[in-house]
Amino acid sequence: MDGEKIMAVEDDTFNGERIALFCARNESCSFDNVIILDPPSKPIVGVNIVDEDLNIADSTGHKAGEYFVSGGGTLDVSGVVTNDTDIGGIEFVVDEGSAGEMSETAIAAPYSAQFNFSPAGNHDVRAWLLDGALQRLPDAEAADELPLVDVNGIHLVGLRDDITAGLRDDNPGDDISLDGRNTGGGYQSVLNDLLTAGNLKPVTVLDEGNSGETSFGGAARIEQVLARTPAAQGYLVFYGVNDAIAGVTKDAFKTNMQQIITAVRDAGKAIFLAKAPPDLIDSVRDARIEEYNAAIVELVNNQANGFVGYAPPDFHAYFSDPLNGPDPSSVNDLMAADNLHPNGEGYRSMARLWCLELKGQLGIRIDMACP
Amino acid sequence: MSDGIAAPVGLAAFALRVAEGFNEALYTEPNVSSSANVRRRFQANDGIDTDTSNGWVADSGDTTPEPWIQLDFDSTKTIYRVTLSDLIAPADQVEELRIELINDGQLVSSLTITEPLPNDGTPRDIPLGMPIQIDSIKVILVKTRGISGLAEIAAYSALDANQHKQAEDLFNDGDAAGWSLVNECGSGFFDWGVGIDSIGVSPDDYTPQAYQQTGDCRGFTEGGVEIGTYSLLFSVPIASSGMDLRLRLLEDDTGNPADWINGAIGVMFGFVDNDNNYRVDISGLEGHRKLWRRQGGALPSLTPVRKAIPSASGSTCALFIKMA
Repeated sequence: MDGEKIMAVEDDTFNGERIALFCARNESCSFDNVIILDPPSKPIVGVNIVDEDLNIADSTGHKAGEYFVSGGGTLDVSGVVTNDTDIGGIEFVVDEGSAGEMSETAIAAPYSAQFNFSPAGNHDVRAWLLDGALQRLPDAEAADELPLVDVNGIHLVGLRDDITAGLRDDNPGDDISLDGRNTGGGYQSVLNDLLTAGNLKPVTVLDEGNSGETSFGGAARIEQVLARTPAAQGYLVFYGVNDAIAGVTKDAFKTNMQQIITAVRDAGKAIFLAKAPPDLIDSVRDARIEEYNAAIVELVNNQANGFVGYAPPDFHAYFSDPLNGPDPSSVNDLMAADNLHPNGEGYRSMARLWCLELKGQLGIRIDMACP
Repeated sequence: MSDGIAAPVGLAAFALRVAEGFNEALYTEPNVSSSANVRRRFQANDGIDTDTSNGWVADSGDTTPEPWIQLDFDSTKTIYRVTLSDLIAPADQVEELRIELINDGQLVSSLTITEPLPNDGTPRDIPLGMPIQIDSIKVILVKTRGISGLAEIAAYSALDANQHKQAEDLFNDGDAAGWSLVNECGSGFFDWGVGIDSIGVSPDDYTPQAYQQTGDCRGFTEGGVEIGTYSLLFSVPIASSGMDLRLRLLEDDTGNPADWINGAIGVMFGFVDNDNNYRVDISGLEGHRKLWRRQGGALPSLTPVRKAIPSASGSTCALFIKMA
C-alpha cells in the first residue's frame, strides 16, 4: 500500500474466481483505476510473526505484523514467497547491523525460524530471499521488514461496542499512540501510552469494539475473538449502554458476562471488567446500567471467576460526577453531544481509570503513575 | 475549449498502452500551480486523453510565468517512458515545456522539449534514455499558445515479460457496467455509483470520476466481523494462476462526528460466493489492516493486525495485491 509491503500470507485454497470492492460503516468510499494483471514472475517475499501455540504450516494460522507485541520472549518467524523455483532459501535477520544481530537461514519450505530474547524490547525482523548460491537477491521485492516487533511486552484487547471503537472521539490529537502501534479514536492509544510509560515495556491495546453490540453479542463472539487474538494476554471488557437500550435484564446481562469470563479464563487469559458509563439522556436506562454495574461487582467478587486484587474501574461514577472534567458545573463535559458516548476528554479519562485499576495485573507495576 | 465535466470516452487508447508498460501516473497525486477548477487538477492523470473537455487547465488568472503540474507517486518508481498529450483544442497548444524528474526532493534529471506537442492530442513519447528512479514528475509549461494545460501525462514502469492485463475498469466511461451490488448491511443503507459523491473540503471539494459508495451500511457477523456492502466484478474471472491487482482507494472524512466515517474500505478476491471469499480491508476507525478468509460463511482472519494505521480520511492510497 502506497509502496509499502503490508502483509503476506500463504494459503493454498485460492483459485482465481472474482474480485469485489468492499465498504462498511463508511459513508464515503471511492475506488478508481482497477487494473488486474497476471502475477509477476519475479519472487516476492513477506515475513510474519506467527502467534503463539499455532502450527506454522497451518494456512489458517494467525500471523501478525510489524507492530506486533508478544507477551513472551520467543518469536516464531515465517516467510512467504510467491515463487521459489529458483530460490535457495530465506535468511531471517533480527536487529541487523546491531551488536545483538541474530540470523537463521531456512533453505526449504515452510520457511521458518525461531528467536529467543530475555529482556523486553523493540526488535527489527527482516527476511531476505537468497539465490541458489545463498546470496541475497538485489530486488526490492526480495526483502521484507517488520520494524517494530516486541517481546516480553503487554498485549491487551478491548472488547465492547462503539465506545471501545472510539465513536464520537473529538480529539484526534491522541489517536495514535507514541509508539505508533495503536490508532483510531477511543481510549486504547492513550492507555497504551500510559502503560508503556509506567512499565518501560512495549504495549499494544487492540480494538475489538463493534458498534451497537450488547452483552449477548459479546458472549456470542467471544470464542472467535479469542481464536483470532491468540497472542493477547488480557481482555478489557464492559457492556451496558446498548443492553439498557435493548431492555436486557440484569440476570441475562450477568449470564452473558459470565459466559465471556468463562471463555477467557478457559483460554488461559486474563479478563478485566469495568462498570459502564451512564446514559445521561434516559434515567430509566441509566437505572438499568446501575443494575448491570452491580452485576459486574458480583462477578468480580465471585472467587470462582479468578479476579485477584482487581477492582473494576467505575466509569459510571466518574462520568456522573460533575467535579470530573473541565467544567465542574456539568456532568456532560466528558460526553459527546449525544450524551451516550464519551468525547475526546472522556476517552482520556477512561484510559486513566483503566490504568489505575490495571496496576499489579499481568506484571504491570503496582507503583505505576497514571497521570 | 470547454471547461466542463468529462464526457464518457472509450478506453481503447489506454488499453493499448498497458501492453507497453504500466502507467504509474494513474496512482499519483497531482499538484498544480493553479487550476481552472478543482476537478481539472485531477484530469491530467485519469487515463482520458481523447476527450476535448478533459485535462488539466491552468487558471486564466494564473500569474505564474510558467504554469506547472507535478505528479507525486506513492513511492519511488522506476520509470522508463513518459508520454504527454496536449489539450485537444486547435487554439491551445504547448509549444515548449520542461520535465523535471525528482526523487526524495532532489532533481534527478531535467528535460527541455522545444518542439510543440501534437495539437490534436496525440501522445508524444518523451525518451528518458534509460530507466530512472523517481517519486515525482513535474511538467512545466514554458511556452504555450492559448490556454495552458495538458490532456494527459503518463509515466510507465516495466512489467514482467509474461505479465499481461486480465481486466481493467478506470470508471472513465461513467458507469459501473459489469459490477453487481451485494447487500450485507445489518442496518443502514447504501448507494453505489460513478461520480456520485463530492469529496474534500470546500472550496477544494470535487466529485471524482470514481466508483463510489455512500450511506451508513454496517453490520457484523455473529463472530463479530464487520460486514457491509460490496460490488462484485462478476463478468471477469481471475486467472487461477493468480493476479496482480492494482487500484486506488480514497476515503473522505466529512468532519461530522455524527456521520459514519472512517470505517472499513477494501477489496475482496478469490470470490466464489457470499460465504466463500477473501477480503483485505483498512479501517481508520479501528486502526487496522486485516486480511480475512471467509469459508462456509464464517470469517476467520488470516492476519489479525499487520499494522496500526492512522485514519485514511481525506487521503488516497494505492493498493496492490500480488499473488501467485
